[in-house]
Amino acid sequence: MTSHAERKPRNNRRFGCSRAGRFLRNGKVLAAAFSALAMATFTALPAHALTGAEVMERSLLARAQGDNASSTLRVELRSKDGASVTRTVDTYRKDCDGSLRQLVVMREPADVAGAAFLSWIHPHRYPDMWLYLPELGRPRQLNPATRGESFMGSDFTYEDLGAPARDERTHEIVGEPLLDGEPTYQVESVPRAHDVYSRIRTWVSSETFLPRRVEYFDRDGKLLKVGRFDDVRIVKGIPTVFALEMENVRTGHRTAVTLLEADFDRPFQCALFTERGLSRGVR
Amino acid sequence: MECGDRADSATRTGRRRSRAACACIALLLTIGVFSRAPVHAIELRLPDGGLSLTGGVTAWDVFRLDPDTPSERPSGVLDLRFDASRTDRFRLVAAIRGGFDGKIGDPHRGNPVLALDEVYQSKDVFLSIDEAYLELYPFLNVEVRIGKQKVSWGQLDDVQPTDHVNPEDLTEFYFRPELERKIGVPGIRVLGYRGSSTIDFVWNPIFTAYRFPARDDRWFPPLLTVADTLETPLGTIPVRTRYPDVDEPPHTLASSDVALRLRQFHEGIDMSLSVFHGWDKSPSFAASGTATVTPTGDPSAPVATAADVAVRPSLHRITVVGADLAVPFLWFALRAEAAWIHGRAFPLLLQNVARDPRLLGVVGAAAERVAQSGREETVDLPIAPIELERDALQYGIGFDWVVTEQVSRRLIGGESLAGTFVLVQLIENVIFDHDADFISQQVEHLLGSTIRQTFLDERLSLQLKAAYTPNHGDFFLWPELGYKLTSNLIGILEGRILGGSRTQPIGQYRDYDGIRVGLRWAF
Repeated sequence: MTSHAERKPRNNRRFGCSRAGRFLRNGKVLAAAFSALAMATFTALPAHALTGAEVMERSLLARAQGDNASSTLRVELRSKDGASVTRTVDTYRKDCDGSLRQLVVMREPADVAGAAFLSWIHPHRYPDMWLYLPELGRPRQLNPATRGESFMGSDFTYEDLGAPARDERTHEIVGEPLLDGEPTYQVESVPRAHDVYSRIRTWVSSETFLPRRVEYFDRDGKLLKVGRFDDVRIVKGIPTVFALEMENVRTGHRTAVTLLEADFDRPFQCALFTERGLSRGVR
Repeated sequence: MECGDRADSATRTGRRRSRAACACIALLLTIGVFSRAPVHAIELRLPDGGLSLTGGVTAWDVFRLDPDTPSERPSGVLDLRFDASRTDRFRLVAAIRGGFDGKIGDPHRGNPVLALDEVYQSKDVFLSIDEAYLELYPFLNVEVRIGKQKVSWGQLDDVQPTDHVNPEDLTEFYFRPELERKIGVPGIRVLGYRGSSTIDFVWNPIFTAYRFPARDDRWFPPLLTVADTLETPLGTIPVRTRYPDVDEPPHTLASSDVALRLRQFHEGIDMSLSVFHGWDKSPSFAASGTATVTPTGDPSAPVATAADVAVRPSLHRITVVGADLAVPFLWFALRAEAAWIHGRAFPLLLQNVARDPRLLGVVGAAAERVAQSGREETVDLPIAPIELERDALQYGIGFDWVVTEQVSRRLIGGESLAGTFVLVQLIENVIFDHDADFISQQVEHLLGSTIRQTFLDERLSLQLKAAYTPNHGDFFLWPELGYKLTSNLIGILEGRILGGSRTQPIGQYRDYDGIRVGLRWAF
């Protein structure tokens, strides 16, 4: 793997839509979180008179560049009392047979090493998801209804790891504030039907279209979680988020993710994004 | 740990080894308490592959709740796994396990390497090659795996009607993780991938026996115990019972195992068809014996009779045709599996052996001859079969579900239950031609459940496994608690609670409740 990282350029780039991106329709902004850190990309368009839905779609498309993406992440779970647990995770992504396939493999610590999560993200239906636990020796198919649940104790959900829902929300631009000096679109997303969150507020960079801050509100309208995206660098020409933190403001629990390595041109076989890759990782 | 007085039945050597295992536990505790810096796996990553060495040391002791049940000494085990690969070329995997096994009641000295063809391996000091295989990629979507390996088929948990490739290590009943129970088999596996379809072929040319607890081990099944004396109409007959090991079948093509599985994933439905032909890996036994009649010179009791009985593992070829399925259903993941099994042996109840007229006739005739001739005589006992082959159908359905935050709030007003994994499954076993006094009823039900949750950033994990057979009221509960003391060290506390009828596979262990306490240091 390589980690050629440069500081993010300030100039805009021509929008480059990958095939994978077409399958990521407007979904939860939360979905941008983990994947964005792992392999987020952006290419900013001259952005005028965009609708909220268009901003969110471009935000999702931006992170899907690079057809053979892989990364290594350090994930630190920190509780309110200061106790922490650190994990190392490998992620892989490839566009195969009309679906975007993502594989997340736990590397450390030893008690969870080898556990893996595979998702096939389809354009017009819920994702297919599998979890592999080494002690079982076989993949376990998951119900897409669980995609909003925590992945192995973190503040990220299965959906964040690469199983976004179909577009179930309306999106509206409610402001264009500066966030840490960077111009952003502030987008309010409201579910069309029953959902875990009553609304999600996202600050999307108007330059990069990467999410910079995401706030999640519970069904009572109270702030539940806050996601922060920082340290954007260029890896092989693709802008990539190197630091992300998700905080549950109710419990004080935080999950901090640091990108250790990233690559975008490893020639993976589609067959590795199956039971085969789940049980042994991608090598 | 309470080590000293727990080795009452062990030899002096056994006691020394018990102390060594205790020392191992103390060492792990010391490492855990004083070394908080994480220890990482040994890993080398290359652009086109890499290698890694992972492993760990586990030490534990089991405290029995009933002192009349066999005891177990402390155990200590080292696991190492080496994995090297070159992308698109090959992968080499070797997993070894060795250490001291405190479950062994009467250890045999000598070669500590576990053999492939032995059911009873009374090696307290042992070394086992769990897996050792080479994986080759001759074509883009073809994978060939050669060597000792484990194969996991099916969709249900713990009991898979379609999974027959690997035998199991049952020396601790079912109180071990599923994959750890499996014994690697030497063979060749070919996997082909095309789109969402997989073809999986396994050929295992060498017989590999399941492992079973020996007579003096803690988990030797009471159902296999033969009484020291038999009260017969001919009088009281002392019985000496032996448990010889299995007769290894010849190494011929005809005695190999073959299995094929076709798997297809379509629109969220994961389904497969499979067929297996080979040795049945479920334990079954045959009994044989002799009676020795000796003249006593006492006119009131002119002869004395003693019996020698051998209970030996029996082997059966079975053919299995099966199918399995997994599909999201409402809020659940539904799993189903079914298999038709031809040629499986089912055990019979052994309540009337002492009154079997054929057996009594043979012994009585011999007694008359010896009384007349005054010469000792040994005759073969026509012991009725203790098992019969029947065709069977085994099928099951399971639902698993992850408790959502919303449901948790509804249930308890908070989110503590969110993320709890709940599995419920029902497995049924139907014996066709149920025309004898089988231990199992014609239709046996087995209800199983697993509940799992983690707390404190997964430092604390709780799991409860349970099984219940409505036919007989047998059950076991297996709660497990793990706590991460450091990033490498985990404390383990397990309970084992069993109950039910003494004539049934689970209920026979109703007095074997116990608590397992241990430590695992892994990197």
